Amino acid sequence: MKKYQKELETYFQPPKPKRKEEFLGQFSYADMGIGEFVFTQAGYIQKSSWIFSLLLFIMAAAAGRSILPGGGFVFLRSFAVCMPFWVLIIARESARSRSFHMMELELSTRHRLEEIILARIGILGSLDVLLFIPVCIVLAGMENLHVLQVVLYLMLPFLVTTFLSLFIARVKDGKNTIWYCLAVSVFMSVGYQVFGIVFDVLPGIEKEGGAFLCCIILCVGIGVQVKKLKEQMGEMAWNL
Amino acid sequence: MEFIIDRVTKQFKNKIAVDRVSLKMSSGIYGLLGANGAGKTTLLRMMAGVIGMDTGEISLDGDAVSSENYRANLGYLPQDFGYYPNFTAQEFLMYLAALKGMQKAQAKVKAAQLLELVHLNDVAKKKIKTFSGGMKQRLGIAQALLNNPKLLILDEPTAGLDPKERVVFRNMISRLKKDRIIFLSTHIVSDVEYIADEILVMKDGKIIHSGSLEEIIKVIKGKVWECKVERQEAEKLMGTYALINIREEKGGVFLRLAGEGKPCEDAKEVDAVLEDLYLYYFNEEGRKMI
Repeated sequence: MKKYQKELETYFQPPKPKRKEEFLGQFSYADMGIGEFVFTQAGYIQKSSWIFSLLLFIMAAAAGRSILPGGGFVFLRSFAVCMPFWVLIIARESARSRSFHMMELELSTRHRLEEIILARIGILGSLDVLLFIPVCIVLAGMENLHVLQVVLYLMLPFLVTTFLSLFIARVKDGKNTIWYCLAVSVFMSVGYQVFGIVFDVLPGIEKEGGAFLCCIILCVGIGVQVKKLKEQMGEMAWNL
Repeated sequence: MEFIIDRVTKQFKNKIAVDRVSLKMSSGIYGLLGANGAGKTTLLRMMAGVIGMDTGEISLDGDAVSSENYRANLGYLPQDFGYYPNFTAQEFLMYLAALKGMQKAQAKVKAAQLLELVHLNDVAKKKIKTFSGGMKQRLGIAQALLNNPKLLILDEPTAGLDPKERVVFRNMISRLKKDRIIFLSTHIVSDVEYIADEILVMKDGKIIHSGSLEEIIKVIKGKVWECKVERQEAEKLMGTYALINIREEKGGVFLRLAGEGKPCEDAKEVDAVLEDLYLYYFNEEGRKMI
């Protein structure tokens, strides 16, 4: 029976479609929405960015765990000193368009360069948030800290490094910008390791209040740097 | 279809790159001619929305240059463009199709069609870093056509193409002009001479002349001369007239010049071509090249 079926299929095979692509090309498809656009950008983030993000997380967790007898604060600090390197990964991803001379093409498309960078930052940032939510909850439980305190402790080095990296990108525009950002990340990481010891010694409520205020100021500062960088993009484009 | 550029100006520090340029275009091919530093690329970048204008407006069928609708109808080929490492030709087109808001299925079909159009279908899966300059340029033309744009802006599109490829390109552009505005900038006169419906000449940020080929040639009608003179006489004439062609020959120097009045007794008036006009306008730049 199967043999007859197969033979019937062979003898009565339908003709191959002619000009299939031309026919399909006549139809106007619905345009890609913004959500779908963001999703497709995930496929264009470098594999190394994903790998470094995860490696950094694993290293921070391993480093904290290896000195766990020192307490949850030490574990928290091991993540905090790695935060500047997450900024570096995001900065590297954001600078790709300029590094590979794709800026001019990406500025002229429907979904412009700003959307591309925001999409990639958002995707990488979302991965970081997903990794850190359980960390914050676990650490808060370990030392009877409030989750907000843990978040502030982690956000401070992240925001300081972001602010400094954006400032550097603005004033030192060029091929070596990423190396300057690396230097900033290393400096912040080492600096926070030292500062963190001092920070731990400070009295309780004042330091959280101070950290919260710093975060607010830094967010405003970052907004100003982004605005100035956007204005500078025109001159950058002219110098392409 | 109407594309309007209204009193557009762009200044960078002390230099006015584009000076109150106003244009109105409907479907057809527009060739922008100008020497290096004339402001062509700056004007095209403003038209493509890559850089902003200091003053003025640019719109396509009422959509301002800053709007998404405008960019959705735009295809742009920059003078120089890069690519992310390890991109193949097909991946490059698929990436740009995503940026142009095209669905994956549609993009795949379109990419295949365009690779065939620009004769890169055999190397669709090869990495762009292995491409020659001409192949890369053809790929650039293909990406500009992905979204079937109403406005196609090409900045020095034949750079890196050999003469045969340039002819292929010209024919391709001529076929594409139906229901489309094609704006191409070049300093290769032959790129526009045969295909442009309107030619614009740009100098020091201004459009100094525009019209069909016949209209703009009229400016130097009766002003193009050919003669054969002694070397010393030739050097004297080159200081006064726009030099179009110079050739060492037996017994003297053959000159083709543009300018007012007969340069010498034996000079013959000849029919002007677009290259004569170009060099007549850019006389200073031409002299510097000798």
